[in-house]
Amino acid sequence: MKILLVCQAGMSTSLLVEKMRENASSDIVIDATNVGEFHSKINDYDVILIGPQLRYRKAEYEKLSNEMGKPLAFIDPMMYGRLMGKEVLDEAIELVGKK
Amino acid sequence: MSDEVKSKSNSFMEKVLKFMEEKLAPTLGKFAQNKIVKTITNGMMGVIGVLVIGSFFLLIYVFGSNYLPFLKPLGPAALNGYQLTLGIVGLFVAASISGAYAKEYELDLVQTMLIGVGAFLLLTSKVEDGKIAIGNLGSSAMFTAIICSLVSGAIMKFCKDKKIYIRMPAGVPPAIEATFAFLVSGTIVFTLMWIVKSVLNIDVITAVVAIFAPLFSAAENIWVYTFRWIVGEVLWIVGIHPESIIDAITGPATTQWIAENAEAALAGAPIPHIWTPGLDRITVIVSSCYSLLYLMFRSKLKEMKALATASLLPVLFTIAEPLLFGIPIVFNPYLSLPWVLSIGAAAFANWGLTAIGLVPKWIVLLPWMTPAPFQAFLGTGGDLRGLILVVVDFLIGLAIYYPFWKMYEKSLLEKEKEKASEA
Repeated sequence: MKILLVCQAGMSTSLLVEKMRENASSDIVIDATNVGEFHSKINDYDVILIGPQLRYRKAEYEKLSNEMGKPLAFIDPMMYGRLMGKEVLDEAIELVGKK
Repeated sequence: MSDEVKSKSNSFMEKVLKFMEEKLAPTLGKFAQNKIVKTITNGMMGVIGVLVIGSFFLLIYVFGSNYLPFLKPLGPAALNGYQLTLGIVGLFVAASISGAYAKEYELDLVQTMLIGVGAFLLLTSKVEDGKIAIGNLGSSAMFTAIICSLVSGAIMKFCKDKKIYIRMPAGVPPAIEATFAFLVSGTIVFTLMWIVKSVLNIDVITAVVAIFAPLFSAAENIWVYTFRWIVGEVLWIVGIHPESIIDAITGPATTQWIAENAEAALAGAPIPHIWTPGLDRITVIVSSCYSLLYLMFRSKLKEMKALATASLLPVLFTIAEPLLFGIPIVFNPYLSLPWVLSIGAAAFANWGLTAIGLVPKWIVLLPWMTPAPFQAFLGTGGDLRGLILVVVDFLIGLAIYYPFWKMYEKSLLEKEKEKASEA
């Protein structure tokens, strides 16, 4: 399974990515990218998680998610700020399962 | 504060925050989605690498001239390095904006960039004695570069949409087809720019500067600066990342201003601009985060101490999200107000101290995540007085946060006690 995290610069999400990788099995790929790049990368991943500070783009991203058929969700602010890698990972896995 | 007053102000805050999220956020979202805004934003982001590396050359030159004699022999070479990067920033902007336009409007990337660069050269330069003046390619031409690239891209898109191109028979390699596909639109773009500059000798750069200059000089004052920061931070506390929107507007201007400051510093001229990306990086992090971390480390709450430890490194590299979303500060009635106030006060103080000459202006563009003390020292060209801002901002933040933090701490301690007694 391939998970992509998106935030403004790709910096703050990369912190979370590290925590998630610690909790993930070896067959799960987790990457971080920034707002500019993610449109081109979306096809390579199974689920997209967006940083909460980009919530104002909700409408645009939900549309993108439907068009591309990829599950997309905004990371819960608390989990994001407190770098709760395991919880975010579980959410991502759940999202892929629901598809 | 009495409980009643506290709960009234809390619900007022909640109403304000709710309004911002439901009314303001979607509007900002639309603005950020606008294709032209995105093109300019992404295009300006694209050149930052070149600008920062160019700034390193400038740093070598400045340090060599003033502080580190062993670097002095590298001076002329460093100057050359600076001039061919920061010194011709307009050229890089033309390439980057053209590229961003191509990505946004789905044109061939390479062709759009090449034609955009060619258009910019034709629009701004004349060859005399086998030379072109690099002054026409530098910071003063930055806005010309943006406009030129947008026009160039628009013409190419128009031709593509209206199917104005030379068709190739099947079996021709795609790369050749791409070149020919843009032959017509490229010719239109080049001819247009050629007529304007080479034939009619119109000085577009001066015209563009004359049009935009009043707007920018009007914006370059302490009130607009403070306002920009207050508005930006209010957006943060409703969880909206303001940089992508505000930077789309201020980014091109501040980039031009730091480039102009660098040129002035090299020429030994007085440095014109206070508002630079470096000043912004100090304003945003020291008063709000450094002071808060200090309070968190001294807190009785184990949770806060742990969060402070986890957030230390990110904050040092100017990433505030762990505090903003981790405490959290967003939607927090106790901490959201001091967050905005501390940054607003810091903005006002930073501008003021620079304006009265106590603190130097920035002349070097550093990577955005450079820790604040280094930003203050290196960004000003090695002037230790820059650190005054860091100290002042820290104290401002501490003074503003202290009462609010104490209230917040108290509320958390009370909640802990309640939970303990319930258990």
